[in-house]
Order: sequence, then structure tokens, then C-alpha cells
Amino acid sequence: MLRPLLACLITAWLCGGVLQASAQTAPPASPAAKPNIKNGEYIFYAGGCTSCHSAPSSGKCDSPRTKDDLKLVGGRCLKTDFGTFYVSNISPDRETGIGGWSNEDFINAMMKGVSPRGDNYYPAFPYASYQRMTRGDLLDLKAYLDTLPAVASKVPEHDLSFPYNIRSGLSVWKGLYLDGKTFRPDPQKSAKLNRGAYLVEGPGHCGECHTPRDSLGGMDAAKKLGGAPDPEGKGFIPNITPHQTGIGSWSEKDIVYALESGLTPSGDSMGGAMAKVQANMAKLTKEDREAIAAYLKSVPPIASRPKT
Amino acid sequence: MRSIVIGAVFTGILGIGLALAQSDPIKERQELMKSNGRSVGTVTAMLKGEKPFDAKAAADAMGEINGNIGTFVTLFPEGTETGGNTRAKPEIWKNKKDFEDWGAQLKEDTAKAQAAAAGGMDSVRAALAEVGKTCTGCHDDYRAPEKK
Repeated sequence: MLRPLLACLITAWLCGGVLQASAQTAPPASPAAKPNIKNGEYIFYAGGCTSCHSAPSSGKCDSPRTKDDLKLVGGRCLKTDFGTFYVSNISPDRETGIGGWSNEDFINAMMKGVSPRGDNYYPAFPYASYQRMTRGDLLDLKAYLDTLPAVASKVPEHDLSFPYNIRSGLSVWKGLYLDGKTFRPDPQKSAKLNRGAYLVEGPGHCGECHTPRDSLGGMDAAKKLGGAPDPEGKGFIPNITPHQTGIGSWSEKDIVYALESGLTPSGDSMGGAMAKVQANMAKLTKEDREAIAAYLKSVPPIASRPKT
Repeated sequence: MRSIVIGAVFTGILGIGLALAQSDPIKERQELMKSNGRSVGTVTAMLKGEKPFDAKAAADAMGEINGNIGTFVTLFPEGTETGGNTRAKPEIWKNKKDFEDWGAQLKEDTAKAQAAAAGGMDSVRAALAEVGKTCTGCHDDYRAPEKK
């Protein structure tokens, strides 16, 4: 049973290139409003771009520390079951970074996971979340990234196992997990909850780590934010839903303070990748941290493995 | 003769058992870290507005960590690399000096936080942020994630 299914998937993966050709067309460029670089900088922190795209501080490509948060040279490695991904250079260098990109190139990368040459990006780059971001925020972000130092540095190719090394196969994946829908506020809910939802689901891309993945590597919507094995094999990423196995015992104030300080209600420190995420969250306004907390308390509680 | 030997062996095993019961560095260091978590929690409860600000209690909590961190870093003798659900990374034993430097850093940070308590909430908030950075820095290098 499993084997035919697998064969079927691999076939679909390999044939994906055919679908790909028809899948991408950019929306017509609208007359450009002047970008708000200040907002772009804010979105840069809300999105935690630097956590992955700045260079690791030591010689080890998976060092948890970053070197210079504003030099987005890439080179960090993510070692997963699919193989090793290398994070790209998104500094404004024209040759090795994204300095030559137009606004539409940037929008396509962030919302459709497609490079200016038309290649698919692997979803280790969390475009399944970034597709929720507003066009305005994305263009502001691009304008801010353009102000950062250009650093020439060529990043190694991803080192992935078959069939994942066939990029065209990603079209199938995208068919399943990309719907191209920008976040729409829910008029039934408060402005605060909507703001929190936008930050968590869009730029914050919390679910990319905290939501478990299904068998095809997409976020399992039924278990949203319910905790997941670390894709790098280093333990379990916490359940952040209001369930007793998650952060049900945390108050909104606990969440706000943890995002501000990196300290949990039990006095422990947030570790690993979350330490970098938290450092970015600490740069947001208190109102935004409160919105995130309110939203996290409002999502459906999911049971995960018990806390140790 | 035989029973004497068996008796001696049993006594020996009992002796080792007792010695272990008296000195269990893994358990001791885990208890100290739990206590340090509670001390931090005492202060964060004030900063979150869950408890009224109490400068003396905040200073005492920081003093508690300041007083035990020197002992804490000595609780990693050879032979305690594994067991007892320890999350200590092997790097501790490879980089003992660096590990102990983190302990010294925390001692300094908590001394400052202890003194900061008299200056009120905002001054404690800033000092505790430095304590937190040291916690995270050392944990990143020397504490493994919770097991799957």
C-alpha cells in the first residue's frame, strides 16, 4: 500500500515541472507608492529575517549565534531529514545577493516561493507563511533591505537526497500548501486579535516551527501551533496553544513578558532558535507583543505530548 | 571463608551505594537550577505586575543565585556526563574554562541585579535582562534541548 503511494508521489514530484510552467504569473505592477523604510525595518524584526540570513558567529554553520545581524550574507545550514539546506544571501549585493531584484521579483519570492529565474524555492524558506503578508509590508521590507550593507558571498548549493533534490517537484508541494491568500482581518474579531493573527501567521511565521508537519512536509492546519519535533532533530518545539500540554497555564502577561525578556513563567530561559526569535520580538511595540499574546490565547487548544 | 568474601563484597556494594546517595552531583545541580528558576520567577512576577514590587525580596532572589552559582559550576565532575535525565552537553567537559566563565558572568550579573533592586522596577527590569542573556547564552552552548 505504502509503496505504490510513494511511487505515485515521486512521479507527481518529477512531473511537477509541467505544472510549474503554467503556475506563475506576476500581478501587474501597480504605480509605486513611496515605501515606508521605517515600517520595513519593523517588519524585518517581526519577520526575524536576520535569525536565519545573518552569518553564524563561529566556524560551525549551524551555530545558534549570529555574527552581524544586519549583514544578511547567508551561509547558515539547516540539517534536516531531507538533507542540508544552506540559507541564501539576501544582502543587496548584485551578484551573490538580491541587489538586482525588482519589487516584483521580491514579491514573487516571498508570496510564491519563486526566484527571478523562475526556479522554485524550498519551503525551508517560509513563504507558506509570508504569502499572508500585505503587499505594502513586503515592499516596505524590500526598501529596508536595500539600505543594508551589500556583502559578496556565494552560498553552497543545498545538499539534498533524491527526490527532494529535483526542484520542479516543489510545484506539487506548492499546489497543496500555497493558496496565495493575503491575510484578511476577521470583522467578527477585535483589531487586537486580528493584528496578533497577522503577526503570528504572516511575518512572524511561528507555525513554521511550532506547527507539526504532515507526511508531505506541509504545516498540518488541524494541529496549528500544537508543537512539533525539531526538524533539525534537536528535541521538541513547544506547543504554544492554550492547552495544558502547551502554554495553557501561561497568562497573556506571561507571554508578553517572555517575548520581551526571554524568560518563561518558571524562570527558565528560552533556548535555541527561539532565543533569536525572542530578541527580534523584543524590538516590537508592547502593543504588538500583547496582540500576539491575545491571539495565541485564542487559537484552538491542541493536545501534544505531555510536558516533561 | 566464602561467606566472609561474599559479606565483604556486599558491604562494599552497600558502601558505594551510601556514598552515591550522599553525593549525587547530577541531582544537586538540577535542584540548584530549579531553585534559580524560582528566584528569577520571584522577580518576573513583580515585573509582570502579578505581585507588588518588593525591593528586598527582589534583591534576595538575585542574591540567592549569586550565592550558589559558584558551587553550581563545580557539580560537573568526571563521570556525571550522563544519567539522571541530565541535559548537560558533553561540551561542558571539553570547555570547562568557558563553562566556568559563564558562571562568573552570572555571578557578576546577579550582583548588579541585586544592587539594582533599590533603584525600583525599571532598574531591575534592565538588570534582569542582562541576567537572562547570560542564562540563554550558556544554555545555548551547554544545555541540550528537552528530550523528544
